[in-house]
Amino acid sequence: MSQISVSDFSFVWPGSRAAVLQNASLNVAAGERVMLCGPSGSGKSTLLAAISGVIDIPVGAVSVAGQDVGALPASKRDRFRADHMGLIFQVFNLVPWLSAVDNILLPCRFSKRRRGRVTGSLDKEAQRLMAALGLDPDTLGASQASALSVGQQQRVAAARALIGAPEVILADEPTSALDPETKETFMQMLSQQAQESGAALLMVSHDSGLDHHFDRVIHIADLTQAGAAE
Amino acid sequence: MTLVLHSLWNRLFVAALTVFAIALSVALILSVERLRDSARTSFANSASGIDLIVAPRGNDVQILLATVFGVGSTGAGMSGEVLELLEEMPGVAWAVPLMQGDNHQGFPVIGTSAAYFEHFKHSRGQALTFIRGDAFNDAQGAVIGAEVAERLGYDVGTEIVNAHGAGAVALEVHDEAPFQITGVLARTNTAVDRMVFISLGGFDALHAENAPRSADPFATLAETDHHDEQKHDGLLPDQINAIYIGLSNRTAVLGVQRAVATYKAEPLAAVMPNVALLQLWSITGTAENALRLMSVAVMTASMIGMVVMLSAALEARRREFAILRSVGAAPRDVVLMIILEALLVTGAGILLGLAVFWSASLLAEPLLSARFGVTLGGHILTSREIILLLTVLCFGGLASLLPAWRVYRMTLADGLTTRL
Repeated sequence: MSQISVSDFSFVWPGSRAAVLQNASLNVAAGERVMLCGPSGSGKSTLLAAISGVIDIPVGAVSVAGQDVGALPASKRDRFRADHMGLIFQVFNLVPWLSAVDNILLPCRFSKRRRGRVTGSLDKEAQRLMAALGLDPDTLGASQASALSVGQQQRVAAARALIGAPEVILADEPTSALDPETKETFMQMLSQQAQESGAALLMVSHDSGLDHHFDRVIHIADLTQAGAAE
Repeated sequence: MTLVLHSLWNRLFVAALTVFAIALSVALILSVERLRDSARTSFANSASGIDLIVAPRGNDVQILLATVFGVGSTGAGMSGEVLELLEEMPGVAWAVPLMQGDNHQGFPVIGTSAAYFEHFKHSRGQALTFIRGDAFNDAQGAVIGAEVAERLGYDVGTEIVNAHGAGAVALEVHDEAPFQITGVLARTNTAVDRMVFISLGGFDALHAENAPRSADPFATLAETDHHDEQKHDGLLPDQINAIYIGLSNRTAVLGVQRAVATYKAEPLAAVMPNVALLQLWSITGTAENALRLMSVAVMTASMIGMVVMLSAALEARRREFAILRSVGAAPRDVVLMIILEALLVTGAGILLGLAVFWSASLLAEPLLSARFGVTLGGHILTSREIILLLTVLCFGGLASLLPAWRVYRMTLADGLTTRL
């Protein structure tokens, strides 16, 4: 069963004439780890935005966890995203004035479903994830996000994406700000945790050195017939 | 909610400043309102039970202030015949003469008859009561108000000496004619608390040589050296400054007023205290409105300050909003956060403002009460004030709609993009 299913999706940013994506199709199964690579401006981020339901997309183009994202109204999409997806960005993933644990628990504030899927106390689960991602929950759990190093921040962001076991984890170049060593351990832990929770992991990156963490590596040009619009 | 608190806490300094600004303006608005109301009720309380005040012709407000509140003077005096005439006038139940012009350590000294304590009413018809002693019954007796007793530590039996003039500075002391306190009045929270009452005879004894008295204080000063050379010969003409009148029949008020106004021998006026009070309010109304306008302006400025605070932070918080959206916050949630922040800041401002207001009134109360006979009132908040505060809160919410609308458009445009 595919958790992410994009079929024949085209997108033109408002105010621009050329399509960023044309007739793109992609399927990611539950528990599958897929890396999406391609040059800048080739529509990778647009694809993530479409899957996460931030941009308006036509009905029937994208479905996540069996739900047609395009068919949902904007406000439902926000709720749906909180319920079924974890997102990790390149940098600055955390709300600076919240502690690491509070940052991890953010999705649980907005999603009852995610909260419900955590067995045991929320704090315990946040601490378990921190430990699993190589962070010491006792020393770092209460510290402000702004006091963490970039590498630590990215792990906290990963823990946040993983909490409550969403079906889909989307990551937009989460490793680009990390040094090679940190990158390696980060990816290892992320993909391991994703697999344990059974989530479909779709990660955008142009770092070919990370290939071995994924089941599949797809070039954006292979998805679309048009490829990069520029 | 906790998110909002955290977020505000993160900007504690700016938020605290804004809260403080709002608090000050809230305290200001409340004080202006409360002072205005208190002044009005205090004044209105002072003038209860008196139907007419007869005095030498002059400004109604001046007559009222001089007699009931002991502020300023009525100028010239009138003869004792007027008192007799009034007492016999149909419809007049009682007439109490007043003599003024002296003070005791800054408290006005009133020469009157013992009937004053019987007829004078305050605070919606309450009579004066003695907590100690009784009214005077000879020329050497004096009755003092509660404030006088408290401030100067006087009690029944204390001997006092009066000074001439209405000011706090004793220009000249009548030490040849001491008085003995026979009674202390219970607190009324009106000007009576600050008055010293002596009998007409006692007042005469001080001023026998000064008649006819002039409105010019310096003229009186020049004459005051002859005290002992003059003989005291009872009630002199032109000594009475004002007469309080109670009517047996309210409908007689216009008749008495006309009779007084057309009195041939002396130019007199009969003032209805309530009418004079209304005149007074119309005079002070302009100043009151100016004060109110100022406090509303201060409130507006502090509201703008809050909008500035919220708006200025928006740009820096774009990332924060993007993150919140990525974890499932709808643009609506973000907007609600901003409004909630504004309401929290305004609410905190109101609470702090109340605290400032209450402590300020506690501090100012003795001073106001002593200097002006105005009490701020024990009540915590009137319904009017609560409505006022709720209005402020609503405006706080409304003011936040501007940054909220901006943040709505911003989050829609930004989506989850992480540009800086």
